Amino acid sequence: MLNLNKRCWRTPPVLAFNFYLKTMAEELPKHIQSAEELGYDPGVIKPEDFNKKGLAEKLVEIEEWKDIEPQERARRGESAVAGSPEALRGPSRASVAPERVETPTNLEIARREFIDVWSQDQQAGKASGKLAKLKGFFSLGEKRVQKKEEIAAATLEKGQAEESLAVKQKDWAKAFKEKQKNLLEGKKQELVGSGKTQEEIDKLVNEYAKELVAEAAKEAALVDGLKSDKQIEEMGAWRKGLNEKVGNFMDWYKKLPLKGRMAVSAGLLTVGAAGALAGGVPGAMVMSAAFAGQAGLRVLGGALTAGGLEQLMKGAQQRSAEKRIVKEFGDKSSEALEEDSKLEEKMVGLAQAKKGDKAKRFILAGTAGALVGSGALGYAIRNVADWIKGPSMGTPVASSEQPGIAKAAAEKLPIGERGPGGAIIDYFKANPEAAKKFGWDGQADINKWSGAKAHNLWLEHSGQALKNPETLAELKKLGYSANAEGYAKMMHRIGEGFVELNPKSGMNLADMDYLKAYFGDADKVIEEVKKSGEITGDALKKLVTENVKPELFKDGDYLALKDKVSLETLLKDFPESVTDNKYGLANKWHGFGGQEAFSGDRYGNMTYNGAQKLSALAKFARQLVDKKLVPSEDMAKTVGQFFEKYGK
Amino acid sequence: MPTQSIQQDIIKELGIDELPPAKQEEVLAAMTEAVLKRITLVLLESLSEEKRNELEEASKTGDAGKVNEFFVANVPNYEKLIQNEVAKFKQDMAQTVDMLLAA
Repeated sequence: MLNLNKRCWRTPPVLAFNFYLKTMAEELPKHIQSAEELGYDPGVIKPEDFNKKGLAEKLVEIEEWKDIEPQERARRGESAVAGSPEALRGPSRASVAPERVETPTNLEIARREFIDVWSQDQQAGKASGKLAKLKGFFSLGEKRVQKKEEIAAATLEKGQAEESLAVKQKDWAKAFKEKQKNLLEGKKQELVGSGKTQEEIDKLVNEYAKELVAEAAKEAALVDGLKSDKQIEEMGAWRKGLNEKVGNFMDWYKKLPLKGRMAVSAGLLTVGAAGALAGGVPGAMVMSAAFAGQAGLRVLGGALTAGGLEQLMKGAQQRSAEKRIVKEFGDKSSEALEEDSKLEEKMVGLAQAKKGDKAKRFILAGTAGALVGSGALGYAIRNVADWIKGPSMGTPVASSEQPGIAKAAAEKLPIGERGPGGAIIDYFKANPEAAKKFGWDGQADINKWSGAKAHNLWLEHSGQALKNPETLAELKKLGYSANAEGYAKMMHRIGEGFVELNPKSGMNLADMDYLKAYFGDADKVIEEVKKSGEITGDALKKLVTENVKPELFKDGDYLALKDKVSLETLLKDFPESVTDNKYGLANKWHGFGGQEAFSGDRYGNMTYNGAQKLSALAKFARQLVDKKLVPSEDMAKTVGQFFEKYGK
Repeated sequence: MPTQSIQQDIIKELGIDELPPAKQEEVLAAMTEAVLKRITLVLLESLSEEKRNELEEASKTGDAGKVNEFFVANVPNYEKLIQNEVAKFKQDMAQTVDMLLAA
């Protein structure tokens, strides 16, 4: 802290200000030296730093750095420069850490060790996966032997990492349980000494136990956040931009008061929530404003895309800057500021001129605003809120009849490349506790049991679904028979969707999007064109237009490829073996190491679902070609040009 | 729906209406903070450095429509991307909570 002579603040303002600069210049090296002893890295100090702006910046920087607790710095193992995202970011202590103590608790240690091992497991998994994908390219001689050895070593490392992870996860869960047990025991003892009857004590303990469910949910979220932190930390230098953006965003988020965090996360600022944030309206009201709905988010979020958020942050930073000034000069500054309002402006201006503040405000507003403006984050948060308030998480501690998060598990699983059955099987295999709720005895081979259970769930669901008029209409629209076989076939056309699993009601499909709905029925187009007697471009265009939904032309995967890929290329990349065999695409996808088979300049970072759509499109094109409905020269057109000519 | 009604529904359906208000808020804040990190990571990770700069430019305009267009054009199925990430988050959370309570 600067040791300024009180006398200087009683002299005329300009002289006082000059004296202040001179003193700062004299004091700065001492500040830097003392901070360096604590591990601070001052970086390169240039001569031009020794002007009023540079001095102020450096002092503020050092004070900010000192504000980070030594224990926290040591934990991060860094000599970070103050103000950097790396320095400011840490675990989500503000909202979710149960408590802060001087010495790490067993739970904190166990949690940290679990995260470290989890990170190692992730790294081992990546290394093992990369080598496995390459194995097909090394099939001869020494290279093959060498590669096999590398793969074996990576696989072994992965196996060891998984074992360590299981142990550390168990330790972490045990430490959590131990802490909760101690808390519960402490509560019991407290009640026993209060003179209450056993019945009253049991009732109170049971109520208290509900809080433990909340603690488990918070603990799970905390660790999930720490995993994200770890991922950010371990990104390479080329990801610095991303690192900074995420770090700045989260830093800003964490510094908000609880009601502010809720406002941001529950809807990321509808106007109502923003007003509540600025005005200090109670959290529950912020929540209600945030649940106003997607339409409100989209419309109102636009107003906040950059300006609204920036204003909020600017205000917060200005208050923070003022605090720094007061902290720097203590009572003396207050006295001086009262004497001269111009000096106040200069001082606040100096602190506000801190390098990076403006950029930081922009980055925060830009990133957050972009997400708000898109409605994407609002969508996500709305989903989380729906989920939390619904019966989807956690098993009860004290009672199986508790509502909300304490209800028995009912899951909504995204349908991946292996269809609804695969999603169910994967879920049971990864969640033995959940499998028990569906009848697994804990003894049988869970791999076999999962397959059989998924089949039975499907049969039950299929019978019910075929009584549903909506399902029957979808089958008809897509050209499948209204029976179990037709329904099963339709599953191969799933673009996106979810399996809902409930121990009582079994399975259901939700939010389904079938690919043929996008790409139309090629057979129908062909049949209709044949009936017309003469094949003309106009007839084809009319029928394609009628049978291909306009949503195709707004689809992200389509937009990404439309100007890059010709029909010829598409048919080459998705041959008949892929499009006509029901497992063809999955085989190709996995045989070539998943996404890499279709990535690169042409398709970018395509997902399996994206590949499914392209596969359907390729099949559609192939049928038109086979029937000679498309002139051969049109095959050289890009997909976009083709649809411009024949259907858009 | 009237504000107060929405508020009551949320708290009741959370099943934490008997807990102190601070506890109720903590659970929601913890969950949303964690998913916020995931969403931010997954969206920005899907963009190249160049595209991230473009995103900043788009957001600078204050035009939500432009930002929307940017995501549609540059992040294939971005809402689905988020939907999947949230679904994964929910699944992971459910699994973790089960594990913690069953330990």
